[in-house]
Amino acid sequence: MLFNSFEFVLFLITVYFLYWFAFSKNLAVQNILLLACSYLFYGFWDWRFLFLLLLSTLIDYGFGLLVYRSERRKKLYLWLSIFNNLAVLGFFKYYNFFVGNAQDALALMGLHTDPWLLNIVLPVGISFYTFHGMSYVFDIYNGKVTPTRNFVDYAVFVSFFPLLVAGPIERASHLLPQVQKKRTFSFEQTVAGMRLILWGYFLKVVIADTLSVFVNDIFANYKTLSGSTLVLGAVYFSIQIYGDFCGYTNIALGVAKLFGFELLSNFRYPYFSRNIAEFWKRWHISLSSWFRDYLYIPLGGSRVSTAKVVRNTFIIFLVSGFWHGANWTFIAWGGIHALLFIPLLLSNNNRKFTSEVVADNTLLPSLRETWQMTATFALATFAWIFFRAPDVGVAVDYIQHIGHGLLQMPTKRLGIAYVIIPLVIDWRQRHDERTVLNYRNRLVRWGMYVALGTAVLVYSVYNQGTFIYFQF
Amino acid sequence: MKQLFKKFLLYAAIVSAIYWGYLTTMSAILNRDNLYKVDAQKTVLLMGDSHIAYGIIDSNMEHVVNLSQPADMYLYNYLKLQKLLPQNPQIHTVVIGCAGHNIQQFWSDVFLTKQGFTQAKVQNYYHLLSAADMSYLLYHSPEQVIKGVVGLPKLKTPYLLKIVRHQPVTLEQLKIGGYAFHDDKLDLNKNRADVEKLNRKGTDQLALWTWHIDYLHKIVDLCKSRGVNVVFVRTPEHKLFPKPIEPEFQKFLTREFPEVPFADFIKMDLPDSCFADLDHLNYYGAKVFSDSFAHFAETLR
Repeated sequence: MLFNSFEFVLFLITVYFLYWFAFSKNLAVQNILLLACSYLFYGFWDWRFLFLLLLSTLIDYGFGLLVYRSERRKKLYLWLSIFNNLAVLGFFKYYNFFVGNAQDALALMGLHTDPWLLNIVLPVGISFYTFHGMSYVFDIYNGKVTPTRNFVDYAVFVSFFPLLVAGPIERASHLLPQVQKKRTFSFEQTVAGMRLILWGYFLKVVIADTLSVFVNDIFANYKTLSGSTLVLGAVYFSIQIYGDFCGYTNIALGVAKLFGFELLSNFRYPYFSRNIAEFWKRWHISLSSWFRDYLYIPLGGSRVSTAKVVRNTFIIFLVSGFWHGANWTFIAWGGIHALLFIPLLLSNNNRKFTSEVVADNTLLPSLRETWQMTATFALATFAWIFFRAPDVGVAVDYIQHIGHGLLQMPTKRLGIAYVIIPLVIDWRQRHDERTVLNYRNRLVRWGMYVALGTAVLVYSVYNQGTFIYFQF
Repeated sequence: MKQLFKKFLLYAAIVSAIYWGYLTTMSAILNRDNLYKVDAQKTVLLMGDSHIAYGIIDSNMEHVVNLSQPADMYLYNYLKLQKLLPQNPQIHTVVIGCAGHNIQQFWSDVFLTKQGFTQAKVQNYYHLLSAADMSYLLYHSPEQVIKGVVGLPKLKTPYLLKIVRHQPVTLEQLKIGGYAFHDDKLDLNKNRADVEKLNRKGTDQLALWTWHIDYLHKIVDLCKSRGVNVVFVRTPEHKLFPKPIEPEFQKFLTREFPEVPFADFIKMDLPDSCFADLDHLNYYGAKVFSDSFAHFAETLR
């Protein structure tokens, strides 16, 4: 069931009414409803993977209790939990990649093998819910969280339907207490949720899905197009993936608000970043902070020798790239970001822009800020070419072709409007990613609601693409 | 919660009003006079569905214009003629496609519910459709009608702006019809299954699609009332294409339209390479058939 499908709208309305009208008095029943609906939501893709989800949830729930109760074997249980999650992830997501690459490596040495490749269907959202489970056990191990005895509460934390298939990757310390506490209806929270949903749908259905047509066309025919059009294609993809993923996240955050939950932020206007370090504080925050807390810091973080800091940074970026999928393109994408990040880290500029918002008290950015944002956007866009290309060879070829006819007037210019519109609206609301479309003037606010809502309706007839991050 | 519902209803009402306003304005603009004008020398109008749209290339016939369109039911042809005939008084003959599939209930599914045809047609002809037509379509294909209406602004706005600015908009851009290039090749293996299916249906195919046929009557009456001649035409079909209702079809024509001439090219001997499938010509077939049709069209001058 896709967020941008008619079935989901019906599903959401039904669950919403049951939740607030039929079961609002009993927290336990409300949680059972959320769990049942989340499993129904997930089962729409492939009901067989419900068993995998249930098994994974049961195992992490069990390991959580074991880690908490056992002093002596605490570490062993933690490692068993990690091994179990990575094994599930590795089998479904990376088996063929590793076997195929091993075969290629052996072939280079003259050893021809016929390995056993499997026709594996990747369960939707596996990378997200296994990370939920792992963070739960990690947090218990680190003493940040006390395990819950109520399996339903834990299962809701893992499989709450707004975040089940593409995040944000939640932390038990943040979401679990909300599952365990009685939710009360709040008009303000609901309105804020609906605004997020509207803005999310606009980003996905109008912006991302429209740009995807241009992007697919440009990437499929890059050999015959001018360099300037290829630059436009890469820029379009930058906005497409932002609209797609940030759109999804906004819908997830908004839907969660409708049920009285506050999820973690995942995007803070990343294309207004002034360097790559700031970009990573604003892009897919729940994943980057997950890797920071559970990989980078345990490896020593930045409190070790310079060589080790560089090593740790490379590890975190490469793993982050690989998390996206079993393809060298994602590893290359992560590698490029590591190369862009390390100079900032070594020159102590990685924390330069972490708290304040660009042009905080002014309407427009200064020339210097404009240059910084443009340069960061250009670097991120360059890296996105690897992310989008089917293989590294094509990405390199695409970049080489940019040199041919770079000064020509580009074709496919119609998409530029779909780049400008979200950036302009985002600029206006850049101070708070959770309070979107909150214009003071009622006329402007309702004008935006109506304009965006109508646009979403109209475009929804033509654009019903799946979300990019569902494959991860 | 009450406050939320109130606001939500207000929002839904505003969006609906905007849609209604848009659709009304769009219909008014598209129903303007002179939008359906064809060249003054075109005196013979070809109408119909995919059989005519794929089968007859009108560019070599100076007095003939093909405004048929794939999956255009007689309803849509009738609506178009209501606009075309008054705006083009030089037209003295309407040639309209008529074959077995046009009268069989068996094919109504294809026209109404399959392949998104209804969605596309609602988008093409929304400004011409009456409330009764719309309810018939809504009853048979609700999702496609809703999608069609909801998606209209994206499709039509560029042309509406052109019309308002008095810039030229062709009938082709308005999706009124025209020769449709089709270069598929006949795949007998694929089509054999269709043949078996069509033959298997047997007597079920004899049921007439009366709603559709009513519009054919309306077309003939409309033409008569304006002193325009009507001719039925049937394009070539492959010899393997099943014709289990041929005798009934002939009886139907004699019974219901005894006064309408029928130009039947069904048995025209064409090689397999001329067919896209068993009952549609491809571009090569259309080239060959159009030469023959041009001779026939000369008699209609």
